[in-house]
Amino acid sequence: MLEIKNLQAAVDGKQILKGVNLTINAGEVHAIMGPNGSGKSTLSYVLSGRDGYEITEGDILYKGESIVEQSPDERAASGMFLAFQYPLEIPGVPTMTFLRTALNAQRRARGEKELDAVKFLKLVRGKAKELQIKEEMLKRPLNVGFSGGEKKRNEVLQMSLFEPTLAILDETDSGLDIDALKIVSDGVNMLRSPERAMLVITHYQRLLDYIVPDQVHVLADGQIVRSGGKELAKELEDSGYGAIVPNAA
Amino acid sequence: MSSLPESKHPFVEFYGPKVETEGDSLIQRLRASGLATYQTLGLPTKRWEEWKYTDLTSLSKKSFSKPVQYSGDVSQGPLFETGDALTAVFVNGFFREDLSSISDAPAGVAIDSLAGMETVPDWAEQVLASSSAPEDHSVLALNSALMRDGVVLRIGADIKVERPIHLRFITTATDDAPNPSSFLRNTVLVDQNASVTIVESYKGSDDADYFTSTASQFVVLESATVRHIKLQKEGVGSTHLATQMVSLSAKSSFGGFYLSGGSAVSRNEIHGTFGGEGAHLQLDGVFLGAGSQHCDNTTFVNHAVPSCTSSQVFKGVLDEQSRGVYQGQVTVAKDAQQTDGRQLVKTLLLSDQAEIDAKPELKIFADDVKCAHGATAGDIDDEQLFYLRSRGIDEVTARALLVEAFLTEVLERLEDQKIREFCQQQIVSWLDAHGRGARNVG
Repeated sequence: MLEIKNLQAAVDGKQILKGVNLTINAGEVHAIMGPNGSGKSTLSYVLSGRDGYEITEGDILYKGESIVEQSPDERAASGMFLAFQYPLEIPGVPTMTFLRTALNAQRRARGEKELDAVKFLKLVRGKAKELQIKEEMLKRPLNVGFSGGEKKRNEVLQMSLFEPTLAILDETDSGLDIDALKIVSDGVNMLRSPERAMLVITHYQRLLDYIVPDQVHVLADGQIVRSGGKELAKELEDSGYGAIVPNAA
Repeated sequence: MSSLPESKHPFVEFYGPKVETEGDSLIQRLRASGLATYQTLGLPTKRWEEWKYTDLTSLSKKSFSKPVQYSGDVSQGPLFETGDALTAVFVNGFFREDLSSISDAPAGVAIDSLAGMETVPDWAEQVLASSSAPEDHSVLALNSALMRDGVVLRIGADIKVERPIHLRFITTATDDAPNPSSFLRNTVLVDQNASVTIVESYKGSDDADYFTSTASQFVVLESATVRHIKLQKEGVGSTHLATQMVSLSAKSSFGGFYLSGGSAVSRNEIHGTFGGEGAHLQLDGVFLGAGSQHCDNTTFVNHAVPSCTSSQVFKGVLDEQSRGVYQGQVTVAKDAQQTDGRQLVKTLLLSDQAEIDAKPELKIFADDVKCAHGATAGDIDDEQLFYLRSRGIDEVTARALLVEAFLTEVLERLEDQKIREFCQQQIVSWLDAHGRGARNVG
């Protein structure tokens, strides 16, 4: 599904990723852990094609094809999804309008028929109910006045609407209390499927108690320094990054 | 005819003919004193504080056609379709009865064309004499000197006018007047407890270098309500200078909305004055600029009496090398306690060459007031743009969505849904025309 080969990337001329290699197959959930400043968020932005993140070396293959020349919207239409650590507030854009515009843009790009208002509404209502999202929330401007938990639930709602084949979750647990974490994790777990790959980026092991990964990788100073099974996360929790990563606090 | 150099006093040669200037009716005196003021001051220069950001020197280098009536076809459709509106149409500065529908005005609504009236009623003369703009205002003086036509409108006491009144001002280049000039003066009196919506729309040929001078005076009596919408989409080569004067009596309310998207150079200047307590003045605007357009919004709000509120929100979207201006002066007199005066101007600069001069200003002489002002300017937020794009929305559509979202705050202040939708459409077509469009929202 996703193959990252010797990926090196710079922001404002500063090298952040220094040769990342990672392969994720369909149906797998991989976690990337690492101390602050290790390049975790940069990796998520580079994968989704954000401007200003320059690939200096290496390649990203998604479904066997290089995507480094693709725009963020092209990547989204081909099935990639990034759940943001800090979902953006956009006053003046109603959540419903946003969801419908995005879904239909993706469908159009894939040559599929757009959903009409009635079908769309039915679809969203069903998904929102599963995630305990009140309809009132969908009438508000996008993420405006949403609590941290509501914002993350809205991200998961988008994920379930767009049905991506590769979902990247960037620090999904940040800003969530245990109850919200549980709702969000349940939402994510519902979306686990043999056709879908997930990359969970997190600083803390806590999230991985809820979204249990198949593999765990430790990112430090722009490189993956260790990989292992889910028990690696536990080891990190017990010993701290210092035991694995040189010079980490 | 004037012997003064044309460069300082363009248009002076249009003064006359004699029949319009002799005699001692108030209008005739107004014209004569307007001419005198204009001849003393000339056109504003950038050395004048209030004209620091808007340069009119190009006007004096141009040669405009003298105002002449045109009775031929006007190919341009209405800018704004108000199905049931009472419509007064003016072409090249003169009333066109054949295109208008003012004859079926309901009871309590008196509407005429200034040039068509044999005698101007006393009340209209009083409104004309009651300007809330300063006397040494050369652009208004020029309009006074040369005013030809416009609407004379009175809404009787307690009359709630359901149908909007639409004043359409159209400029079209003709054989007689390849570069038309118009001098319009609208006079509006809204009696006690009456209510009305007045739409002024301006539209003209894109291929003519023309000039529109327009001034509107609104006297709003006790407990009356006026909604005023001005839509300016003049031709791209034109110059549009508008002066709006609003006098508010106790407990009255005036809500103005000004959409400016046309003209090479335009200025919409509003003078609002409170004459009685408990009145409310709301002035909102959207200005859209592209190419080398220059769009000036200037407001003066004078809280002369206590317990009145004023609120202004202006939002601009400027692309390419366009330039916008917002100058807002709120003055609170010594005795005007419990004043609430607010102004906010926000501008989205879509290009590095676009420029805004924003100058909200408070002059407060009272001590028990609530006043606030703010100004922001910036580009489209990169993070918001990336967020939308990461959801599959292409860059062009995402930008358009963010521009519309930016303008939502001010459009939501428009009560009338039809007019709000019209303004939204105008904004969308502006976005389309400037390469931000191809919208696929929905």
